[in-house]
Amino acid sequence: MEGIDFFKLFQGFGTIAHSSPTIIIARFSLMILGALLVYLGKRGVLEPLLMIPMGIGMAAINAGVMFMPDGSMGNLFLNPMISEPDQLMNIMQINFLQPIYVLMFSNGLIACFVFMGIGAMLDVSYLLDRPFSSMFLAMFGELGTFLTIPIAVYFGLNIKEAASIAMVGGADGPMVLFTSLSLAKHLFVPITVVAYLYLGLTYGGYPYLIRLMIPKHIRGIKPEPPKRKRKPVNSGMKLTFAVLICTLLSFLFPVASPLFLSLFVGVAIKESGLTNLLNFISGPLLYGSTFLLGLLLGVLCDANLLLDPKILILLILGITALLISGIGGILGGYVLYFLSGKKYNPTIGIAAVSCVPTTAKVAQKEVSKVNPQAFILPQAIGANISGVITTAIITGIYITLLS
Amino acid sequence: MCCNFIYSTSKVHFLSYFIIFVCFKNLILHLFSESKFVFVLINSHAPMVSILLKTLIMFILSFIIAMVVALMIYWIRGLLTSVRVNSLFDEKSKTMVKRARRIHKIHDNTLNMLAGQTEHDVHPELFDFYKGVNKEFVQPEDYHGELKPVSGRRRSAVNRKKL
Repeated sequence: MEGIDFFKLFQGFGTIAHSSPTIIIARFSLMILGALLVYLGKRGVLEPLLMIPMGIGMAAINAGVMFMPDGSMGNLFLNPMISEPDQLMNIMQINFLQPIYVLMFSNGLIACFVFMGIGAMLDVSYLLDRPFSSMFLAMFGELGTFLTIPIAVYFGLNIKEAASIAMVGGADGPMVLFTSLSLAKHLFVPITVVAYLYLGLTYGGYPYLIRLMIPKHIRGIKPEPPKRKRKPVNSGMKLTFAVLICTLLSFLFPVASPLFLSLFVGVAIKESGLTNLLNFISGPLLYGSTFLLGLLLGVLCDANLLLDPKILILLILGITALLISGIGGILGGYVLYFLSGKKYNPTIGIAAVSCVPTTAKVAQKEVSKVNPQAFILPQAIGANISGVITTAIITGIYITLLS
Repeated sequence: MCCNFIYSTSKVHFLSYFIIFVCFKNLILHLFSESKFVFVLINSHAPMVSILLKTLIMFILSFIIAMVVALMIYWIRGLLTSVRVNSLFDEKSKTMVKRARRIHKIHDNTLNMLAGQTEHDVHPELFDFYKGVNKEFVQPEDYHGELKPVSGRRRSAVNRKKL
């Protein structure tokens, strides 16, 4: 019995004992942070669909470190840094989340599945009703995507890395994933983790920004019905619109065409009345993908990976980008508020930050708290969808001009 | 009026789309090539200034493209809600367009006949051209020289016979 080594039997302790103090602190901090995310998700402060699997994954990956046969420290979850085909084939037979990471996450498939589900829940008639105001707001909601670039360059990143992290301001996970893959592949994992972590935070953080920037009496403004009665848009028209706009945008920006296809195929299925497909896409596919996405993001928050010196800069820049975009969206709302003779609710501006449909929900929630009669969701969803389109436009421009 | 409006607007729409597409194509290509060119130029300046300029160019370009996309969405909505395209989705509009098309056809035929009659009255020599040259020319018996539009029922009966 005297041959039993405690540290080999309980390898969690063993790896702690063999790690540097920085790693030990980081691992424990991330375990606590993971638990905190689960708690905040359960309380509804953060987006629970993403935060609960992410938090538990984060806690597990930092706890479940073990000694590998070659003597190094590793885990049985996944290794995001492997890219050689032979190594990948070997590791996919060992790490249980590696196949999902390789075949679904790193190529953006999981993001496309999420987009399909979102598309199946969207009503494009809101965008069709107000294209100009929605796109105008959406451009203001992209302010962080532009202003973060010079800040990031000031912090020492090159322009490609700066553009990749600035995309967090677009609040569109799949686009961030795609831009970082194209412009800064070496920072792909940390940027994606930072982006999704902060996208979860918008649910909890933006309400405070709204309350800070918009006084109660303005927040409660009830949107006026349109002066000119518009012709109603039926499902056939929406279907045709989805086909036309998907083709047109894919034609203009082939780099973002997988995302356009994913979004508008969801819309097309919804409007064509294919109930079984709709139930599948908006149910198992969307929730399954969100769950796996959350789990993978949690598992990617490994202490060794996140202790890259650039991570701290990325964390600061990510939150800066989202904050500036949120402020920009509200400023856009204020511009429309003054242009419309103080009849437009500037809270709608926050929905232009295209975190579909979270920001639209946040805007409606905040307005309802002040004035339960005010229903701004249609305008907010219109701005939200426009946000997706403008983020795709900016992705296309960044990749075309900077790569 | 209604049918003429439907026909004329759709033709004008497609023509304007085409012209705008051609114009924007050149504009966008020009902007892209220009911005690339400007990028090369500003690379030689101080790094921070060049970054700011690049960011500004990208913002302006994105803003223009976003507004063009908004314009396209507006046009697509207009096109989809027009009676003619709407007839693809809606039974009521379908009947309306069919009726408009029929009225337009009859109206068009009537106008042609009126024009022909006026022409005949003003320049009878053109219509009697063969009368002077070809001495064997005989006025057809079934020519009455009067305006008499064929009724829809009779026309469809003739068409059926032809089939």
